Amino acid sequence: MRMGRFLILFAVFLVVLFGLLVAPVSQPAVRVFTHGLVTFSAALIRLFGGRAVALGDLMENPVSHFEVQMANGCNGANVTILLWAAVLAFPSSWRQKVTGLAAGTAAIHAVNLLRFISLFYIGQYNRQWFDFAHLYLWESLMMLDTLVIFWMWAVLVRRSWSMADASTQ
Amino acid sequence: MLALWWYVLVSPLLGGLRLLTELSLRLWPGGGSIAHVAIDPAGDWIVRVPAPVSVARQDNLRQMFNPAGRGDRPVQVRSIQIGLPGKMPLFFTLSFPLFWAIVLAAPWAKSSWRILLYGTGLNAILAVMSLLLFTAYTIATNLHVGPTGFAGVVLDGAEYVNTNVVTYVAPFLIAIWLHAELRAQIFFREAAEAVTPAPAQQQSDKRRGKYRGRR
Repeated sequence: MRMGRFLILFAVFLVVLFGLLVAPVSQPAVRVFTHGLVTFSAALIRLFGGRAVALGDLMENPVSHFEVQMANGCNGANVTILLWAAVLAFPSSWRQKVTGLAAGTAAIHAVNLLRFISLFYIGQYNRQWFDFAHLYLWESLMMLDTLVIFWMWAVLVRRSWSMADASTQ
Repeated sequence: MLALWWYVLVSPLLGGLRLLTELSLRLWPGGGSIAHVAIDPAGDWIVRVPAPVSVARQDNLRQMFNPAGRGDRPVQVRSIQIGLPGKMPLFFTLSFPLFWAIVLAAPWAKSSWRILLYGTGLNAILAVMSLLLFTAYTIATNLHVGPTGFAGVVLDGAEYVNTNVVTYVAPFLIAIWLHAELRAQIFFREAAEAVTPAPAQQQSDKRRGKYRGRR
């Protein structure tokens, strides 16, 4: 029953959140967010002495003119929604949920920035490796990262229950 | 596992996916002699599907296949053949190595073989469904025969989830669903056992009600 309730709520939140993500009304916000990620990635690269400029959802090396695009599935929104649906569906207090959502989202997007920047360099080095890393390796790691974040958060939530129970004995 | 998949398993998995997809299309009404799936030398897939009646009757589709309006009777569209980029069927096989990696990394039990077998079957069904949905979406967008308005948004959303979420999430969900030990580690057992003394746990479980840890 516990598992069943979690799965039902998880599915409901997934449908609602993905519905919001792909709704036409959300697209301007998604675009601004994506452009912001590209701008931040380019700034990070320049901070460490690299060459990159942001052109909307494209990041370009001004010397080699190699470009990489942050498309709709590459901005981390899909895995963020998965984490949010799981955290919202998991039995916990609202404070724990907010903490999990904030920390988890930050962790996911930190890894996603690393992913995007690494793909920018891998693409300039080897196209075949880029395809493999882009479509298969990094996406799988992002999903694993999301699962691990959720797992760690769920363990902390359960530990807080146990500590609360122990303190009332 | 990803390296093993990339270098060794891709060809047999793609062969199996092609076979299952063609079988599924042949079971579709009107698909018996029409449905066909082939792979060209470049690795792209050529899929021929029976045209659903509701789509075949659309004027814009008939006009597309008979732009000059020749003949008295309207063109009858029986099947649609479309090319799919080879990277998409390849992508839909990614769920297999992800699932196998999770199950092999989880605590091994007698039932693990059965989990591997059932999970592989479920992943195969999902891969075929994903490919069929992708084919339908590609046909709908290329021939402009897809739904509009809210139904169009729903179709776009389904396609987004199909190509950005399902392949990555399904292996994890299937593994968690089939593997009781893995499920317990993630959702229920570990933290409570690590912190709470056993006698206290019995009482606290009663109070916590429906969300208490699974013992």
